[in-house]
Order: sequence, then C-alpha cells, then structure tokens
Amino acid sequence: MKSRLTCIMPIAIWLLLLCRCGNPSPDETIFLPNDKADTDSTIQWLEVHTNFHEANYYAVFDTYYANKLNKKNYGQAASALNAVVNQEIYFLFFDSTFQVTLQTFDTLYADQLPWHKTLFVEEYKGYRLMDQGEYRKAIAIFRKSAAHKPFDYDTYIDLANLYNDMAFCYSAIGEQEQALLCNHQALSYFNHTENIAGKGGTYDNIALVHLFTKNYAEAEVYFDKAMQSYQETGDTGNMFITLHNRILLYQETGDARKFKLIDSTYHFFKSSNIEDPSLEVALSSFYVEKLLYEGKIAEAKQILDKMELTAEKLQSPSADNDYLISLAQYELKSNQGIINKKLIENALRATEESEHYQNQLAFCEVLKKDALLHGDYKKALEYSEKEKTAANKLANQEMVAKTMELNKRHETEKKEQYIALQAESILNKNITIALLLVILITFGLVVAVIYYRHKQKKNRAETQRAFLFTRQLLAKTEEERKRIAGDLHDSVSHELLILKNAIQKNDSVAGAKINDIINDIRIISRNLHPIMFEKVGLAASIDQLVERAQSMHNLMVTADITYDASFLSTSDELQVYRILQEALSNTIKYAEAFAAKITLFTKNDILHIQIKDNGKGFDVEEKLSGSTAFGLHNIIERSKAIGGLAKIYSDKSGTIITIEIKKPL
Amino acid sequence: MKILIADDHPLTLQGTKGVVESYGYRVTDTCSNGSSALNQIQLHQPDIAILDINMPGLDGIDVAKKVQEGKFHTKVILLTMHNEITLYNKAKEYGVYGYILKEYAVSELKKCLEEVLKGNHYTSDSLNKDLVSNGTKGNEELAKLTFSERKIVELITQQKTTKQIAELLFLSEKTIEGHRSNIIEKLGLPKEKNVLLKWAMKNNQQP
Repeated sequence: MKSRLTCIMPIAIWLLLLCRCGNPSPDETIFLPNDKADTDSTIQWLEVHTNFHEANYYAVFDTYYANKLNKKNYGQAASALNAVVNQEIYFLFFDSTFQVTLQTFDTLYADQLPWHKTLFVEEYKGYRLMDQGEYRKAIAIFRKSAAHKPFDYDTYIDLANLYNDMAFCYSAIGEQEQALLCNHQALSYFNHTENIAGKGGTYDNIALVHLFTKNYAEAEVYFDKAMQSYQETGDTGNMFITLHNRILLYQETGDARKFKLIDSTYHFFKSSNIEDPSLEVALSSFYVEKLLYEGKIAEAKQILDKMELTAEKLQSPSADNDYLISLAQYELKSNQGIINKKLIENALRATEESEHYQNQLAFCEVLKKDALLHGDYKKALEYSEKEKTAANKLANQEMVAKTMELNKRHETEKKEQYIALQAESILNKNITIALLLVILITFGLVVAVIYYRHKQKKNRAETQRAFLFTRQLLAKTEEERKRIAGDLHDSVSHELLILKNAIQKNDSVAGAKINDIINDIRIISRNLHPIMFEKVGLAASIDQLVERAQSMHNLMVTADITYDASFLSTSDELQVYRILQEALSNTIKYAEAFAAKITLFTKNDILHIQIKDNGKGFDVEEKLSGSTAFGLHNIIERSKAIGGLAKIYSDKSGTIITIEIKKPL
Repeated sequence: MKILIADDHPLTLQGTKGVVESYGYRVTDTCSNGSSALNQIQLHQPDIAILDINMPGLDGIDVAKKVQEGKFHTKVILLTMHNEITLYNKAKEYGVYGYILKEYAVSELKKCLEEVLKGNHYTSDSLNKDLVSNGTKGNEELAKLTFSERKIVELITQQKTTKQIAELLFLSEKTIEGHRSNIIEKLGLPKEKNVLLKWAMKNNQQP
C-alpha cells in the first residue's frame, strides 16, 4: 500500500506540471503562420506583388472569382478578393470595376462568412477614404473592425495592420496621442506573431508621431528600426515609404542631408524598377523640390510632366496634391507665380476640411510665397497665419507634452511589464525547479525503498539459506559422526574381539590390552555420538551426560528434566544434547565451578532450557567478539538452527545460558 | 532345551554358537537380524535367546520389548559391545534376564546361561564394575557413598553450612539434610552433634 502511494505521487506531480504547461497566460502566446499549403494556386498567384502589373491580372481574378461564386464557394471567393485588395492597398491603386465587385460581394455574401474572413473589405473601405484624405471617416471604419478579438496568426496580423492604418490616420490629423496608442496596440498584436514586416510599418508610424511631436531623435531611432525590419524581410517597397518619411524628418529639422537623401532615394527607386505610381509621385515631388533648390528648372519641369501623367492615371487625391504642390513650387521658382491659383486654393480648402495638415502646410507655404511674389502682403500674412495654425494643429505644444508623457508612460509600462514578466518567469522557473526536485526526490525515495526492499528480501533469503545451510551442516556432521562411531564400534571393536578370542587361550596380557583398546574405542565412539540416542531419548541421554561429567570430571551436576519426547524431532533433540554437552564442557574446562545444573521444562509450547554453573564467569561480549569463542558460537548457532534463541549471561558468580525453543509446527 | 542366537556379524555369531555348544547346549536357531530373530522366537519359542543389540531392522532391545509384549516364555540375554548404563536400564525395563559384554563372553556366558536357566538375572561383572568405577580409590568408607554424598562430605570438610552447600550444589537444603542423614547411616556414625563434621575433619582428604 505504501509503495503504491509512492508510485502515484510523482505521476500526480507530472499531471500538475502538464496542467500548468497546458494553460499559459494568453499574453505570452506566439502564433505561427497558418498552413497555406492548401491555398489555391490562383490565389497564390494573385498575391504576388509583381503579378499585379500583368495586363491580365484583373482578368485572371474575374474568371476565378466568377467560377467560385458559381460554385457558391464564398470562402475562396473572399480569399481572391482579399488578395486583390492587399495588392491595391500596397500600390495605392484602386480599380473602379473591382470596387464595384467588392461592394457587391459585401452586400450579398459577406454575411455568410466569419468576421475575420471579410476584414479586408473594411480595410479596403478605410484605405479608399485615407487615399481621399478622409481620415476621420477612415478611422471610424477601422475602429469598428479593430474591436474584434484576434485568435490566430492571421487575425493578429490583420488587426495589427488595422491599428497601424488607424495610427497613420490619427497622425495625419494631428491626434498624435491616439496615433501612439494605436501604434502600441499594433506592436503588441505583432508581438504575438513573428511578422517583422508588419512591425516595420508600425515603427514607421511611431517615427512619424515623434516627427510631428518634434521629438526628432526618437523619430530617427524608429525610422532606423523600421528600415531594419524591412531590410530583414527584403521589403523594398515599404523601405521607400520609410525613406520618404525620413526625408520629411530632414525637411522638418532642416537637416543638410535632406537633398542628398532625396537624390539617392529617388535614383534608387528608379533603378529598383518598382512599379508603384503613388510612391513615384511622392518621391518625385521631393526630387522636384531638390532640382528647384539646385536651380535645375528645366529638369524639374520634365519630372513634373511625368508626375502629372502618373497622378492622372492614379486618380488619387493625395497624388494630385503632391503634384499640385510640386507644380506650385516650380511655378514660384521660375518667377512666374502660381498660374492656376484657384486650383491650389481649392486643394487647400479640401485639406482644411479633411484636416490633412501636412498638405495644408505645403499649400499655405506655396500660396504665401505666391502672395509675397505679387506683393500681396495681406494675403501673405493670412496664409502665414493659416500655416502656423496648421503647424500647431499638427503638433500643438500641449499635444507634444501629452504625447511625450504617453510615450514615457508606455515605456515605463513596457519596462514594468517586462520586469513583471521576468519575475513571473523566474517564479515559474522556480516552481518548475521545485517540482522537478520533488519529483527527483520522490523518484529517489522510491528507488531507495525498492532497493532497500530488494536488499531486505535478498538478506532474508540469504539468512534463510544460511539457516538451512547450518541445519544441513549440523545434520550432516551428526550423520557423519554417527557413521564413524558406528563403524568404530561395530567393525573395529568386533575385529578386535575376534582377535582377542583367537589369542586369548595363549596370551591373557594381550587379551587385557585388547580390552583396553575396545574400551578406548567405546569412549571415542561415545563422544562422537551418544550411543543409541534414538533409542534411549533425550532425557536419558542427558542423565548419562550428567553421570559422565560427575564420574570423569568430578563436577557435581544436577539435572531437573521435564521433557515430552514428542516436542522436538530426534535430530533437533540431538542438537539440544550437543548444546548441553558444549555448555557442560565449557564449564568443566574453564569455569572452575563447583557444580552445574541443567533444567528442562515446557511452558506455553516453548521449551525452556537452562544450564548454569557457579564458576568464575567471563565477559560475554568480549568473549563473543574474540576469536576463541567457538564453543559459545556453537551454542548460539545450533540454537538458531533448531528455531531457538540462546542467551548467555555471565558474571563472577557464575554463568547462565538459557535457550528458548518454540514448538515446531 | 532350545537356544536362539542372533548377531549380524557372522564371525561373532559362529563364535558365540561355538562357545554355547561347547557348554553342551543345543543351538536351534541362528539369525543375522532382529526381525528374523523375532520370527523364530514366535515360531519356535526357544528357552533362551542370545541377542546382539546392534542389528539391522529390529535391534536386540526392540526384540526384547516384543518378547515382553508377546509374553513369550523365551528368556532374553543381550550380548553386546555397549556398556552403557542407559541401555542397561532400558533392557531391564523390558525384562531382559542377562546383559553381557562381548569381550567377556567367553568367561561369563557359561555362568550367565546357568543363572538365567535357573530363572535368575545376570549382569556382566565388568558392566557393574564400570558403573561404579567412578568411586574413589583407597578410601573404602568413601566408596560406599554416592557422588553427591561425597561432594557434600567434601564441602562439610570445608566447614560450609547446609545452606551454603545447598547453594553451591544447586540443591535444596532439605535435600542436603537428607543426604547428611544417609551419609551418617552409611558410615555407621553415632547420632551426636556435628558427628559428620568431626568425621570429615578426621578423614580430611580430598577425593
């Protein structure tokens, strides 16, 4: 029972450990990408960025999509849509036919799919609004979708991206505090995945927040982080966005490296052959600025013309704005003043409405310069005021402080979280170590117990074997002695007898001598084995022993024997006889005793044997541990062999040996 | 007059037969073991059965026991190498008439047969001698005493009290008192105070 318990204990502890391992707190989980192996090859094709510029891209999509709808396979239809949406968002190119397809899908089939399968529809809507500079509306859309709870790799990524987008929107309308919150939310979602590219976008956004809040050093750090993420994933497209934003930073700080960066970025973009018109417009706008700064007006005009074409193709308000600003700058630089002032003023009004302060600033600046050029100082002041307001809106001091504080708080929180996490992990480790130790100790104990039991068993077996061996040895010895005694007595004595009879008539001296020899043999044989022990029994044999001790050794021995002949087997009786013989012999040889007494009686099925003398005694322990105690060990071992226990007590007034033997079953 | 002889030693058997026949007796049966001896006794009812003790199967004492139990009129004489008092006592228990040691057979068997035929018991002189051989030499008076009695005399000589003697010999005082009066009686001493002590001091010699 006890051993079973010790077996169960470690198992229970293991189960406990398993339970702990099975329920880690959800904050720590890292999700791995879902298995895409079963994804349709067409969808895979649709997802590749370079394929987006293939002439038949939308045709391939349309065929596949129609086919899936026919088969009512809405899941795969949605996947195809998702692939195209991702492409359009990536390149900021929105196909109008596709938009209709998507809207139809949204109204007819989206309800039949779980929320996470149609998230891209909301993202698309948000992006469309973002592209048109409708940041608040975009935020509203993103917010709604972001309320979902992520549960696997894809949902974590999707929702993180949503927060990323939202952060960008907040940043653009100057709500840097909200932007930062969204960015951190995005980061925390990304942390549940190992998606580095996604994090790059977030770092880029955070950098923008810092830029707008005039926290330039931090902005630089986050741009570096973003660049690093993109380099790791080889995402050149997004890298240009970060570079673009870094140019904004240099512009803001008046960094001398600005034009150099513009130049290298622009040429790097051109040589990379990336087909991204919106990016091209944005970078071109910087390049134009640079060319104008260097006075390369003709060259600037060439780029501007290209920009116009591209922007027209894009039909994107933000691209249009970029172009308009660049155009205005060009017109100002070539000293002709803004030609189509109405266009700029309208654009300014639009940006005022949509709260796109970055563009607002740019428009104000060109209009101010234009007013100055025409000597219209009143207008110039007006635009200057507007510029200041926009700049303040983008990052008023209050907001800057708030954002800084928020950032600090976030950092502290992160540190605290990290410390808490560390502490928890240390605690967990300690608990695990403790449990393992307990298991180890338990295991050790179990092994020790098993080993001990095994050893005990072995020892018992050993003792049993030794016991049997002693018994057999004693029995064999007795048998041998009996045989020798018999041989001596029967054969040798008889031969001598015959010899005596043969010579008696002539030689009585020889006859007497032979009689002596016969007598000697008698004594030897009697010592070897009590004569006819089986016949005369234990009690009579003891009497004889007593008789002989008295007659031959002059030792007074009294015997008080009450013994039922059936108590022990004859061979065990013989051992009792031997024990008494040994004890008596010890008394005769060493004790210098005057008398000895042998007592035998049975009480409660136990045979009590006692032999005592009034000799000089000895130190029992010393004697037993010495090498000359053969006689005493003989008594102890023989007692054991017949299932008895011998006790020896001795002092200077004599020795008492008692043996108690239980009646054998 | 029928005599049976049983002995597992053929030579001894022949020897004994020869000796018995030389006395003029007729040996009707000879056996080499106890079982056939018992059969012959049952069958032929011999007057005397001379039996060895050590024999295969039934030994001489067993046969004597059976004879006693069977109430046969055969008188048993044990002719043996054993001069053990214990065996002799057993033999007496079973109504054995004669007990002779083999080495003295030639000199004692004739007398033994005669006595047993008369219905008397006969025990080998040498056995008797052996049984009392533990006596002391020289002092005839002491030889009359048993071993215990001699021990008591010895202790009296050492001026021990009855109580001390009783303790020394692991006996009760009462037993010692009994022994004392036995000794006085055996030695024929007058009934006076300390007579035993005086006698002991006078005969002060260690046994």
